[in-house]
Amino acid sequence: MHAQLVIDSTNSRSSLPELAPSPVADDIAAAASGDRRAYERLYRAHVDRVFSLCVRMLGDRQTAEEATQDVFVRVWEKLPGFRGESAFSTWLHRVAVNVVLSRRKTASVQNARTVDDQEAELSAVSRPVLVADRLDLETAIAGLPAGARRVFVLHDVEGFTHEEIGDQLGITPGGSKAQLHRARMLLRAALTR
Amino acid sequence: MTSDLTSTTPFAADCATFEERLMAYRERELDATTAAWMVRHQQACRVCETLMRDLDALVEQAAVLPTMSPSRDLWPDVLSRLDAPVVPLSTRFTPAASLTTATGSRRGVSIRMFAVAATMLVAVSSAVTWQVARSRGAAAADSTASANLLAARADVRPDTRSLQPVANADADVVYEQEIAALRTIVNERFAELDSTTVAVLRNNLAIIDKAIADSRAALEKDPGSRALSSSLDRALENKLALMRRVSLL
Repeated sequence: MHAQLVIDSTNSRSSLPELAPSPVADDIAAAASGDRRAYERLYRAHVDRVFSLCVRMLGDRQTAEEATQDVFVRVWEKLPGFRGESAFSTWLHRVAVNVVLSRRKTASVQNARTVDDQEAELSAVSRPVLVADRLDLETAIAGLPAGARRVFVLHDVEGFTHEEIGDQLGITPGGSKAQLHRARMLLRAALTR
Repeated sequence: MTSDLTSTTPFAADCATFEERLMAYRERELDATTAAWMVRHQQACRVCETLMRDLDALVEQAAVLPTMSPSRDLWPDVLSRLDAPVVPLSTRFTPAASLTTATGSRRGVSIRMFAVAATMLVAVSSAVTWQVARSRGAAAADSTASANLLAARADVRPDTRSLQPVANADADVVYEQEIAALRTIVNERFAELDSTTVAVLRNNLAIIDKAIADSRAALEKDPGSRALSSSLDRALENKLALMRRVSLL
């Protein structure tokens, strides 16, 4: 008999895809011209969303803070090339995903998460009950194998399609679907234990 | 396809079949008949019904996860990296010029995560060089580590042949210290760069390393040769310049 999955849902989130307030176009233009004050306003408006993406994708807050800094440095460098063909937050989000995906290749990230997918899977499945009446989805997400975690975050949390995820991660849409299903089943196992 | 999905199928096997087809079912990729069987089984099986409801709840909750905030204000760190000065590179160095991949922005050399570290290394090695030079009564060090290293080698080279190998060794130690410090950063950058670029960079480093080894071998046979000493200087300087450039890619 499966226990019913109950998750505390007292928190709320803005609707996708524009999770943060739309930046003022003047700030974008000014920042692109080198105005650091304007860029700081853009940073303040978007840092939480970028950090949230980083921490969920990487599974570690410290690493996520470093990645968040990398994202905003990278965005600063790329901003002069931003042509406004997509919403700024969408573009920023894509840069953030790329930064996170590039970090996974570094030795530091590999050292920080030395468990391979199989070990991580066992970890997620065998996770002890945290609190019987307060299931922690965030912690369960962090315990997922890296591949499944990235797809779950991008699809179920961030709202990307399988085709978009496939492009970003270099996998097929079918592979993305398989990873998503695996992630959901692992999360369910962890949260209903 | 549906003949094996009749009610005569053992119940446990039905659940296994349900789970096998669950991903395709949720992705709406099943044909109508199979999907209808899934619906019927779900309605008849409490276990599988619970599974579906759990997954639905999971998807629903994931979509409304709240944003999170860093534990501290990251802006000062970001700002410091935006303001990081460009590390001076040797103008004499040519191999890396053809390898530059991302320095064309209007802000000059890309300000990346290792810029500050590389700059600090330059400062530290400058100080070390200055101390080496001062210990031998040399003039104050120049503004860059590279210049200092060259100055150190020149200034510490005495007229007496007997002391010359020791002086050269001191300068080499300074070079090696900076190279060793940069090596970690370079290795990390190699892990992030594309394989083609890394292959070219490694090849250039290997060429420079061979030049260093050849110069050192020649200097062992003729320690007093200014030409060989200069050749070694240039090779070491080229290696440092390439490593600094890689650290900024």
